[in-house]
Amino acid sequence: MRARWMLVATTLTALLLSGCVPDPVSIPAEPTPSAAPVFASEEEALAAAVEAYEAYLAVSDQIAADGGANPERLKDLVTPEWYEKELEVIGLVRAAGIRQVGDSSSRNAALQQFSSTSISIYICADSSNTSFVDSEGIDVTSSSRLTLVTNEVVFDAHDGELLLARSEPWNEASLCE
Amino acid sequence: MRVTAVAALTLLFSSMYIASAESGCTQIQAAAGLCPSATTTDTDVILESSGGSPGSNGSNGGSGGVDASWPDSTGPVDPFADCIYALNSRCLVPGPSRAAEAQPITWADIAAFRPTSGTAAMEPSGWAVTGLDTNFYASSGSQVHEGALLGQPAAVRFTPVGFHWSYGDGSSSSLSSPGAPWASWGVGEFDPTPTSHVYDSPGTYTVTLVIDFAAEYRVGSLPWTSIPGTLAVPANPLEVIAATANTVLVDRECTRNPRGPGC
Repeated sequence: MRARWMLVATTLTALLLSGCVPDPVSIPAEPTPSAAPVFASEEEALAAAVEAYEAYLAVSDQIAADGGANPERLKDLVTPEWYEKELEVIGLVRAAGIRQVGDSSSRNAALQQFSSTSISIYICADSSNTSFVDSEGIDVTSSSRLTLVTNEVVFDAHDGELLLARSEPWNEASLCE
Repeated sequence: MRVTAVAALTLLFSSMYIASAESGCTQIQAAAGLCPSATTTDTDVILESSGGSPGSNGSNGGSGGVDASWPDSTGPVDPFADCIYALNSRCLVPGPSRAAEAQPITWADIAAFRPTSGTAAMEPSGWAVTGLDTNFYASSGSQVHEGALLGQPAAVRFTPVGFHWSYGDGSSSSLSSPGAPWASWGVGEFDPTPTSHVYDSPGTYTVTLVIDFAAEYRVGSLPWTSIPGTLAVPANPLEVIAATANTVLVDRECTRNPRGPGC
């Protein structure tokens, strides 16, 4: 596992330094599993993951803009375990009486691996157009947050549907310019 | 800073970290600056599982004294189990498994976020001589309220930073230091100090002091971080009887010599 991550990091770094990072970048996956993959190709898998991640960002933005109301909107987009994590954060947003202004975005996705049950990607999440305000419109945005974060995102694949299982900042390389 | 628990939570929330049972951050978490791996401060803090670990729950200061009623159970109950945010030994934001307990924030919760009022004092005590400097000073120190955020010890610290005096004669002043008794300054009675005031006319005046507090928070082993804005908290009022020097001197003399002039 560690060796593959080093390969990914090295490859990404080389691609970024050489100035030719096609959009999206595809990293060779491990040997294919025995079962027929749901996605016919790396490109297809990557595209599906990106679409799922963009939907996740959009719904997260809406929930945060509503001050944490109706978090169940995320249930169809994330695994039950991850949903509990979302609820904790959303609970704090609601209790604090704050809401998000502006939308997140993502770019420069790179495929890490995919199988019939899972897709992992790296992607840049951009929060620079977002801010948080309190009930009186006062800006309370954290001054210490990083607005550009390269995340490793893992999706569980079931019946062609992707559910976000984990999203974690990835520090080996940056997909954000 | 708005004087509400909600606003205080907001300000705390806007830069605090969340400890999670598993690694990773949600998008809302990252946008709100609550993702330890996605902030600009040095974060080598190892975040542990939040399952049930209460963090510090000592209470210190604050005037909220409402007892929280914890759910009944056959065994000992950990009041901080699945508590997202606690302050002054009270779970203010229960976690998902205790969502049924969530109540509207009460005035007691709001009180818990307020610093304890400071004390206004004066020299001479309770009386003044018109035309001479009357020394007013405040005593107030830093206060720390301790609690927990998702299993991490959390604390809020209030520090007095502004002193707004209203002298009751139509004048007021805003000072950045509390002042001190004459003895501390090494000056004599009725000598001017940076916080003294002169009454021009005899009369009875009510003096009010409002202290501005700045707030900081800390989570886990991270350093204190400032919260923008200040909280204004009134201190005790002072009653002042101002009289002319003549009157005061005569009073003194007559006490010594009841048959003297003017008695």
